[in-house]
Amino acid sequence: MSATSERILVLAPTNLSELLQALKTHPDAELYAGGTHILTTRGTAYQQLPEKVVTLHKVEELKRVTRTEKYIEFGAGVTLRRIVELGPKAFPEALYTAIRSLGPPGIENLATIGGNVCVSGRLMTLVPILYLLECRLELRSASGSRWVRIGQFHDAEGNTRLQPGEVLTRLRISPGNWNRQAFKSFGTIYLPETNPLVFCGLAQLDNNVLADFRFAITTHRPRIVRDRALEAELVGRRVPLAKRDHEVIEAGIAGVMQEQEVPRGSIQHRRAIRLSEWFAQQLR
Amino acid sequence: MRIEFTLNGESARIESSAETLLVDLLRREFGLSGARPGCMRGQCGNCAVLFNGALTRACLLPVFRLEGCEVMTIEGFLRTKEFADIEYGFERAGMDPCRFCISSKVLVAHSVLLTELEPSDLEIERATSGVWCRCTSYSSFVNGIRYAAHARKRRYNERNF
Repeated sequence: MSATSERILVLAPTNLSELLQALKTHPDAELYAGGTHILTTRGTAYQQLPEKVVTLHKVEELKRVTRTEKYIEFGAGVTLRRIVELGPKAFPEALYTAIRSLGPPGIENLATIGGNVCVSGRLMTLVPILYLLECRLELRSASGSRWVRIGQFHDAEGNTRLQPGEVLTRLRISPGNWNRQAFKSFGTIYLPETNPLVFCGLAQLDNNVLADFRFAITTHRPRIVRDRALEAELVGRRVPLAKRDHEVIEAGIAGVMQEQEVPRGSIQHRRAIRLSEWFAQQLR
Repeated sequence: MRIEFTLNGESARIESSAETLLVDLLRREFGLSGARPGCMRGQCGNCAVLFNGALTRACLLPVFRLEGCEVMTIEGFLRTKEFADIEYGFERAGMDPCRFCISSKVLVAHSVLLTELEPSDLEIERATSGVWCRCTSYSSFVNGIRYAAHARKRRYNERNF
C-alpha cells in the first residue's frame, strides 16, 4: 500500500477504508487524484512533489457513477473522459460542455471531477456549473461523513474547507429539467491577464413562461457570483423576454461584475454583458 | 520505489524515485526517446503516450501511477497494424511533421480513431488542439486523420469478410 523513496512517502490505498486509515495516520498528506493541476502548476519542470502523497487512483469506490431518478452521483475519482463517454444526454448538457472545455483528450484521461473541485486557492471551471446544479459533496474521514453544498465548500480565498484527514468521496447533482442551458468560458484561470470568465446559465420554461432561471459567473477571483434577486425577478416572465427584462438582466450583470471587482468597460465586463444578452435571447 | 508495469507489450520492472516522471523514465531507463519532453507542464502535448490504452501526457505521470499499468510509446506503436493506417493517412494527406512532434501526432490520430471511425470536425479539432507544434499545416493533419480513418475502416471490413 505504501512506498518510500529518497524523499517522498507515497500511499496508494486500494479501497475507501484503507484511504481513510491512511489519512488518519497522515492527515498532513497531500491528496493526488489525476495530477493535472498539481503537476501543471509546478514552478519549474523538475520541482518536487509534496513529501507525503496519498494517491487515489486505485480506490475503486471513487470511480463509480450512479444514477437514480432523483440524482446522479459521481465518485470523486471519476475521470473527465469517463463522464464524457456517458454522453451529453446522461446529465445536464451545460456540465457536459463545461467538462469538454477543460482540455484535449490527453488531459481528460487523467483529470478527475473531484480534483477539479478540490483545487485550493482558485475556483476551477466546473465549480460554477456544479453550483447552479446544487451539487452536494460527501466528505469522509475515519470518524464519519458529512454532506456539504458546493457553495459552502470554499472559503473567501478559494481554499477548500476539507478538515485534516478528510477526503471528498462523492458529488451528487440533481439532473433537473432544464430547457435552456449555457456554458461559456474564456481565458485560463491560471493566467489573470487572459481575463478569465466562466458564464453558466440554466432556465426552465413552462408554456413559454420562465419557471426557473439561474446564472453564475466567475472570474479569476475565487468567488462565484449569482444574483438571486435578479433570478427571482425574472421567474414568471413570458419568453421571449421583453426589452425591459433585457435591461434588468444587463443591470443585474453589471452589479454582479461590480461585486467581482471587475471594472466597467473591461473585457470581462463586456463579455459578461454580451453572454447574458445571448443567453436571454436563447429563451424563446 | 520498485514498480512493475507493461511497456510496449512487455513486462518491465524498475527501481526509481517515486516522483520521477514517465517521460524521463522512458528516456533514461529504457532509451525510448519518442515521447519528447517539451513544456513539462502537460500543455504542449509532445510527450504523448498511450496509458492503459488512452492518450495521456507522460510529463503528468509520476512513477507511482504506473504500477500494474500498460504504457505504449510510439516505439511500440510502430509495430502495430494500427500504425499502418495512420502512416497511410498521413502520407496520402501529404503530411510531413517535424521529428519533434511526429510521435505525438501519430498517437493523437490513433486516439481519435479509437473512439470514432467517422470523427466529427469538432472531435478532430479537440484532439489536435492537444499538440501545439505547428510544423505542418493544420488542414493536412485533419485530412491525415480522415484518410487514416478510411484505411482503418477498410481494414476492419476486409477482416470481417
